[in-house]
Amino acid sequence: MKDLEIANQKSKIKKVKIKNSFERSKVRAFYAIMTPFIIFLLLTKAYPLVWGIYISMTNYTGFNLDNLTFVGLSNYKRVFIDSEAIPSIIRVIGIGVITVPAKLILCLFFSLMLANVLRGVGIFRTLFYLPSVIPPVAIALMWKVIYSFNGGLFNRIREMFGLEPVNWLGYDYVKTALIIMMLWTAGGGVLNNIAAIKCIPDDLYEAADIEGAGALAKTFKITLPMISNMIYMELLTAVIYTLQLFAQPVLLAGASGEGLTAVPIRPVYTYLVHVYQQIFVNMRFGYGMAMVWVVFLIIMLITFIFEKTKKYWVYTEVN
Amino acid sequence: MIKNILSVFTVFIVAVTIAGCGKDTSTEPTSSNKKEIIRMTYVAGELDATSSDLDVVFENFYKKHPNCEIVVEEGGTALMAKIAANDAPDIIRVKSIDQLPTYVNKNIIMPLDDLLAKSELFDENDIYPLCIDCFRFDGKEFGKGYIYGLPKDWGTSAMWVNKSMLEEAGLEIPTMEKPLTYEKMAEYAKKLTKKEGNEIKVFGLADISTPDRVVETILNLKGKSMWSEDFKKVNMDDPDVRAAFKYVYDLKVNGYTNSPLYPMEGNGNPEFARGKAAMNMFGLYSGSVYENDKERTVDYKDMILCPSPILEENGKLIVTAAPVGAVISASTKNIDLVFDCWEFIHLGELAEKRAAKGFNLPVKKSIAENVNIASEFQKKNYEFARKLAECDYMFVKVNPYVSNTSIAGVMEKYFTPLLFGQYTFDEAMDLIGKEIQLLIDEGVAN
Repeated sequence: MKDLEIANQKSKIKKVKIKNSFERSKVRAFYAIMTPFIIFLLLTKAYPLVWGIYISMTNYTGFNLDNLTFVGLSNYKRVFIDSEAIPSIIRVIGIGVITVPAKLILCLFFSLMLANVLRGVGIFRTLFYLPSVIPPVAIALMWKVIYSFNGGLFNRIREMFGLEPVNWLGYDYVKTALIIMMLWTAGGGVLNNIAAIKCIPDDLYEAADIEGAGALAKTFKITLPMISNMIYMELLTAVIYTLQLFAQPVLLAGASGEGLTAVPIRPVYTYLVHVYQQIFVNMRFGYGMAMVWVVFLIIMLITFIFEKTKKYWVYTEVN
Repeated sequence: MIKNILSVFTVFIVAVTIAGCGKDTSTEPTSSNKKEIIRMTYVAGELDATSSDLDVVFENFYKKHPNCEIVVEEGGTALMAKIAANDAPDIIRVKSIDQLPTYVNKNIIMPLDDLLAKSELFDENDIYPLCIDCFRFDGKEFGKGYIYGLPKDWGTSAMWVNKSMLEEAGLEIPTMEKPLTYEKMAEYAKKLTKKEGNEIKVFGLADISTPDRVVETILNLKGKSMWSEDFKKVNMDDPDVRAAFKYVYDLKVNGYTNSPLYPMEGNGNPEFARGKAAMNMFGLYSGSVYENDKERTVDYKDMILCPSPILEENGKLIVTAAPVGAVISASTKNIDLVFDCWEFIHLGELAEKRAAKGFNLPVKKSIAENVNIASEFQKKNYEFARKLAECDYMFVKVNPYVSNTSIAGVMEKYFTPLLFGQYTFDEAMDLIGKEIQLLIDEGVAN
């Protein structure tokens, strides 16, 4: 008996040893394979991040690398006293307050319609999704022509009805013009939503039918909760995308300058445009980096809030 | 044991794969025949009026330098990022008056005086003085100091007028002997503008210059400036400075010229050629643009090239210019080779090819005298431009502590809202002054 116990213990020790050495070799293999990618990640992601933080605390102008002065947090303080920085964030939030929910609602609406199996639905899925694969530069230039004061599509339509042409890219209407342009790509999430809708088990709908639930009830009680994870992801990415709005205002409503250094008219002068101006026009690299880090912190804060409130409205298998 | 072997084998495969992603070195030239690369930001098509293929454009240069290859790189913000990273191209395309001060004061480019002194193609007496002076800069003023480059071609300030429109409005056509004054030009712009509701059917004047450029031109003609003597202050409180800005503001807010309030689709050239602008502030080069405009409706006989405005009636005609040319980076490795290339572009074969098309004046007088232009229209304009080239000239003052792009940005930030009634005139002037002063102070400190 005792011999058996000793033999069992030796066997266990042997097994543990084997297990440990096996685990160790697995770990070794993992790091051996991952090392090149980890090095690549550190060099291309981590190093620029750290360098960016450092630069944001200096007076770097692009040409004084050998003569840098450490200025601490003064670039960050400047963000809050700069006459354009905070107003431009507020401006972009104002645009986001309209575009984010509108885009989401439109996308959901299209998805619910296009999730049905009807003849020709594939063509419509393509048409609604197509704008989101066109590069932003092409979209902005196309809409610039549509909004053109002389002979643009919208003004031609107005003239057909005897109305005077409107300066769509002037002070009064440029924000509306930008919002319309952004909503034109609302179909971008359609395919993801349709895929999520297709994954909803049919027995839920069957049970609802038995209970006598109508289409609206099924939509709000089954479909939307079941795809709420997808909606959450789209909402978060839409908010982040809006906070980083840059190319569209510049290309659509750039009033001067060349290319991306053009200054868009005030109502669409967004935060990232201001960052770009500071870095590439005014050569305030240090201050520009500080502004970038501020918007990063804002995005992190918003993401944190979303994550914390997720449990109240996003359905998961756990809750 | 097997798993260890597998792990090692996997690592080996990964390492080989990553190594295999590198360059194919089997055809890489050995050190004995390695090509010297010259990087430049010119576009091939603007160097040779007949071809945009680099190999064709530089064919004869490559015969002299068979181990050389010229590559074109992007300008703009990509260029500034490269310069900041100490990776500037060898030959940098610059707008002389606008950009040279920044490059000189940041020690980005090298003076060419010693190299030009040894050059067989450079004869100072055969070159238009303006062409040398626009690339001669001492850190504060043009026309003094070292020579940093030359234009690829050039033309003086001028303007185009539509003869029929002026005659219809009972206005005199400006001539060399009797150019318009700035005041008269504003009156002309008012009379020639045709408006229907809030739509401008015909702009009296098409001008894409930024407000500060027009203001500084007017002030410099008066012997004054927006800037203090040492360029460390901006004089926005000066009555003459405000009056000049008011002049520009009045033209734009009333729709007599283009602005964000009354936008123009093109840069003035299409509008002028299609009868949608009566006057256009461009020079000789526009003639070739009009010839190539397939939608042109204005007859050539109505397109008259005139001198740029003067300050006062019977005053002297003083022309300005801001030609595009190129400089050589201070960090260039093979100076002699790069200078050979630069010389080939600006003083050699390519200069003659560009001149032959008659788009603009060449840098050398001897080439300008012997150009044979096919088109009668452009020939007439060319001869007029040569007369303008002999006039007295000045360069619009540029603040060496702040870039023109920054100033243009400030103008759009406050001048455009002013047009839309977001500020009063004095508020806008104060805000412009504060912002520019801040930029100057930072430029001085750095």
